[in-house]
Amino acid sequence: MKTKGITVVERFIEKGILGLAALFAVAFAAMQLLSEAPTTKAAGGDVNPGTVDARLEEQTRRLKAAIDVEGLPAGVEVQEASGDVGPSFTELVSTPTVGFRKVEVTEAAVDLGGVGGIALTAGAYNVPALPGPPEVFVETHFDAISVGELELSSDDEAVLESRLGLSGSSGDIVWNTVGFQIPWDEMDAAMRDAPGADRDMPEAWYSGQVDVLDIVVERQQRVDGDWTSAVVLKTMPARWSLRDNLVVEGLSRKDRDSIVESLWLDQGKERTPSPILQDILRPEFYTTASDRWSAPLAPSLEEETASKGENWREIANWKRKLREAQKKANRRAASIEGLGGTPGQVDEPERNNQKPGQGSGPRGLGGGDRNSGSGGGSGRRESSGKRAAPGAGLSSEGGGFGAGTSAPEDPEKKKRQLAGLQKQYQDALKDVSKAQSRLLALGYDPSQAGAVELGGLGSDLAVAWFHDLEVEPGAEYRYRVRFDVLNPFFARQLDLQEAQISLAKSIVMPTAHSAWTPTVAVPGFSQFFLTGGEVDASKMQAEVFCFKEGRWWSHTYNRLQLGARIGDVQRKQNGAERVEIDFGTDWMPVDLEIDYSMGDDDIESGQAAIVRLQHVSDHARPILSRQVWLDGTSLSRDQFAQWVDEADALAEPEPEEDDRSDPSRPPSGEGGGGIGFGGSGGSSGGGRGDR
Amino acid sequence: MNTKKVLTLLKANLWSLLTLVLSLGIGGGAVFWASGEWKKVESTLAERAKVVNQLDGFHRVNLDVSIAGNNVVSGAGVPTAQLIEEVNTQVERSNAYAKAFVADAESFHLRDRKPFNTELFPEPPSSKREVIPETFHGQMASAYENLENEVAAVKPLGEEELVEKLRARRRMYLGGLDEIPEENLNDYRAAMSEQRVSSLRDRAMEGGVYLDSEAIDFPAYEQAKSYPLGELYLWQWDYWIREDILRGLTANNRPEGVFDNPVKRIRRIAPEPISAFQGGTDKPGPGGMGMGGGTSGGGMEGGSESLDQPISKDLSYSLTGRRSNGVWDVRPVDILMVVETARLPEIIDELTRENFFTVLDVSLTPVDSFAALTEGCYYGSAPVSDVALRLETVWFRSLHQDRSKAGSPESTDEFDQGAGAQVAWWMPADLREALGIPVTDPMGDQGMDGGMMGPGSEGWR
Repeated sequence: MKTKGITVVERFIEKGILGLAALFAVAFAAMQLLSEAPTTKAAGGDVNPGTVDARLEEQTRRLKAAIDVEGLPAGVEVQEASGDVGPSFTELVSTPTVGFRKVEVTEAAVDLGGVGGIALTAGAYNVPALPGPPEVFVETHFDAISVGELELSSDDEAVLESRLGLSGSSGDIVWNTVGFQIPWDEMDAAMRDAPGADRDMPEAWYSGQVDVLDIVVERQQRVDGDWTSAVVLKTMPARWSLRDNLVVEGLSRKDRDSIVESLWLDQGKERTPSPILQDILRPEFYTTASDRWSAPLAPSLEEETASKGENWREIANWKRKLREAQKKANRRAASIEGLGGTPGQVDEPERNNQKPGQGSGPRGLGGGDRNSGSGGGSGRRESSGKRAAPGAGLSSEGGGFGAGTSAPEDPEKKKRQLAGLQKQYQDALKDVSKAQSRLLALGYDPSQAGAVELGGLGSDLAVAWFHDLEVEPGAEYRYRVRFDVLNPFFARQLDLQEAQISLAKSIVMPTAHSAWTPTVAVPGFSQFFLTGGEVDASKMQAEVFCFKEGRWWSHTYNRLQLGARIGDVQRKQNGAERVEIDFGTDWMPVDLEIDYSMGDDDIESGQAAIVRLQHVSDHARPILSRQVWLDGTSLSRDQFAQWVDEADALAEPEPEEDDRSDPSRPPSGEGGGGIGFGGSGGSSGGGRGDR
Repeated sequence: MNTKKVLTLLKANLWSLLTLVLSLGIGGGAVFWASGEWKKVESTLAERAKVVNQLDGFHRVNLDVSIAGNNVVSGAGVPTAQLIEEVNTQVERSNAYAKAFVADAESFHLRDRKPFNTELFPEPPSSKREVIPETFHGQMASAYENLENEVAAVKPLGEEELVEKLRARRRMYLGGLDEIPEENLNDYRAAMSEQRVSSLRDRAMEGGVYLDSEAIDFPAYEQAKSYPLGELYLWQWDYWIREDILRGLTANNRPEGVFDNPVKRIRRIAPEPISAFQGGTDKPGPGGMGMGGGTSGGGMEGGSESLDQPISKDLSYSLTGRRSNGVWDVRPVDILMVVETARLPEIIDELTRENFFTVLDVSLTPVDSFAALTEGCYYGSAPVSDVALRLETVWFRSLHQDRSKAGSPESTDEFDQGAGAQVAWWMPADLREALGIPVTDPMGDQGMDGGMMGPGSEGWR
């Protein structure tokens, strides 16, 4: 290397630089190798790059171990998942929002009892004891009926045929009409003055009027000498009845009000019964062949008079005649009104035709005095010819009571009918007058013999009735009656204490029962009466009555022999034709005895005989014993005879131009009849012998 | 030293110079690089240390879990599989409870209600447009009649009826006479008084509550009037309001005997009208008594909120602070009635149980029971009061929707999911507009209508 001419610096600079570089390198190496590694805190301790990975791994394993623990972590509590998470919505809704239950009120309670201080709050009330009908009287009726012509529904027809005991749709029938009086005043008084020490019922609860909702008639039949259990008679088919409505569960006040409103047409001063109430209390019987049924007449109270004695039979006979005459007059009056006429008024002016049974409207209730120019002069209203039944006024269909006359289309014919009816009406009034005179002559007050007038339905002791359709000829019955009236406690449970709450459930309150009627023997369709018996028993006389084809027939047998059956087939005149009627009975005389204690005249005339009869087929039946003088003078025989006469008269053909033509000839069949049996004061007996 | 010499020097020592430069450069670079590497190491160390800390921290994690305010898990540590499973169980149980709660609330409120005439709403077919409103009116009238029977409503005994009964009793008393005899006058007066009170009491026994016609206030149908659909729908809505209120008020009433019942007479049930349809002005809010009170602004501002936003309360509006929003409508109702004073708490309890009802205000005035007799009302002996009550009633929007057509949230129908489940409204468009519910379908309401996507339109789900 060249050294000449170079400086020292130049000569050593290379070495210097290399030296510096070497020095720097050594310094750098020393710095790197001798400096401390960085550290930091981690997981509670220091870590450096050399240890951090190990620590990391260690933590990872530790965490995994913790995760993999089976069960819950240590120190951790878990609440049991049982019960409800919280209250249900329904529970929250039902929670009261108001914190207190009652508001303290300082005002006193108010008494709203009104001026009279009547407390209208729940309490115990005296329960009225309502009386039933004071007396019950029964009449038996015979007639013929064609159910198919009644224009009933098929169901009603079937029921009616069954209950009347018809084998087909038509035939002869017998039924009982059970009459009774309604003691309105007495029931009203009982409502107002109930027994007991509790409160009296407010009059407003029954509005001062008693409403009869149903008639409950019980019947017993005598079988083998014993009375059977009482049965409640059913109401008539095709007639209004509330009975089914009254037993419905859950009746409301509105139902009650509807029922009550249906009973009366006018709630004012004059109450007019509605057709519904008419059907309940005074049901019209169905149209029969003769349509002779008329409303029953209640027997009046009879005094015990001294005229009983020898004349008692005659008195009883004339009493019966008086009643029958009155009824006949009533029937004729009804027929006259049915044709638009006025009973007792002759020379009828022309009037519009009316339906049978349609008469003078509300006067049909028995109101209205039609006592003009008639023969009734006894002073008793019934003898004035007042109509018996209301039906002629309000019952516009099927004829009224006893007014079964068809209105003829021919005015002239109608005029003749009216004239004929007027005549019969006058004749009946004459019979009434005659009977009254006769009774007076016998020393008996005829005013006691007559019947209680029918009167308006709203009048006190108004007569009402019920038809028993299911009677058997020859059977014996007795009846008793009660009313079901509107219960004033009905639906008043809020006004009653607990002990009396049950009073509010039923819409009806029953009255007391009437007493049982005396036994009512329903005659058979065939009756016989012994009218004579010879001393030597060679022959006997008997009269047989038979109900056939809607009318009574009679035949007299004058030469009955012992051992011979009473009755046989006879041909009888029925108007223009002759018919065969079987008068055969089931009895034959087997012995005759004379009661020699009777007078010679009686013995000679055959009235002293006592005849014993045996049943033709049933020899186990007891022997009948009949006294001729009793049979012959029997009131029943007179009654049957009268019916036969009436039937014969009706059956006579109507002559042309004859002013006395019978206007009341029924379209088919003639003359049914009613027998007043049983009841209190009614004539009993009759019905002797049956088929 | 001059430059030339320097340069010459440098040229003469070029390799040295280079060495120097390189040495300096490499040295400096090495320092710089080392520094960088040091930082990286520090950074990596810090990160890993952080992870270590995290992993360590998991052992001290707070495991407190609270569901519906109940603390189901407490403690700290690492959650295990069993812990997670038990927590999930609790969550599911809680969800089920919530679902059931919501379902009960919906069922309680909505009651499967739908309009009496679904042909009419939201839009009737054009062929029946003229006829259906009157038919609907008849259905409403019939519904009110049934409601009156249901609550055993009875009318006070009218003067004519009472006079008729008194006349009938007088006739019975007269018994055919023309005048009452002097000596019987006192008895007669007592009898008439008894009849009067008894007649009133009998009428009171026929039902459980006197109901004035103003309580129902259902207008007669006017043939010449053209009814907007919204007004017809309001008939229906007002009926639901009255139905629930009447049922609530008579919940403890027996069907017979007004005098024994807590609520004697209902004079008025008046839902606050909706201004666009019933001509009402913006009435004060429900905070005060029905005749006022509260701040301005009706309760029927609607549609400004939805489920996406928290439900706000405005306590200056009412004491509950509730206002109509996208979820519900608030309809205040004024009630006037006569009640047995001591039993008012019981009445309010039953009323508020009937639906989402809140009593905002009550005022009482004692009633003279004797004076009430002249109005034909027999209240009984317990003290009674006239009560004026302001009731806040809340009605979910979903009440007015045809839920049978609503899409299910669980539906897999892509359209449903994509469209956000369309809503079919019973409520006509005009009423919805009045309530602030968006009506977005320009075609009108045909069952699949507007308001599908906008806020306030989803209703309650």
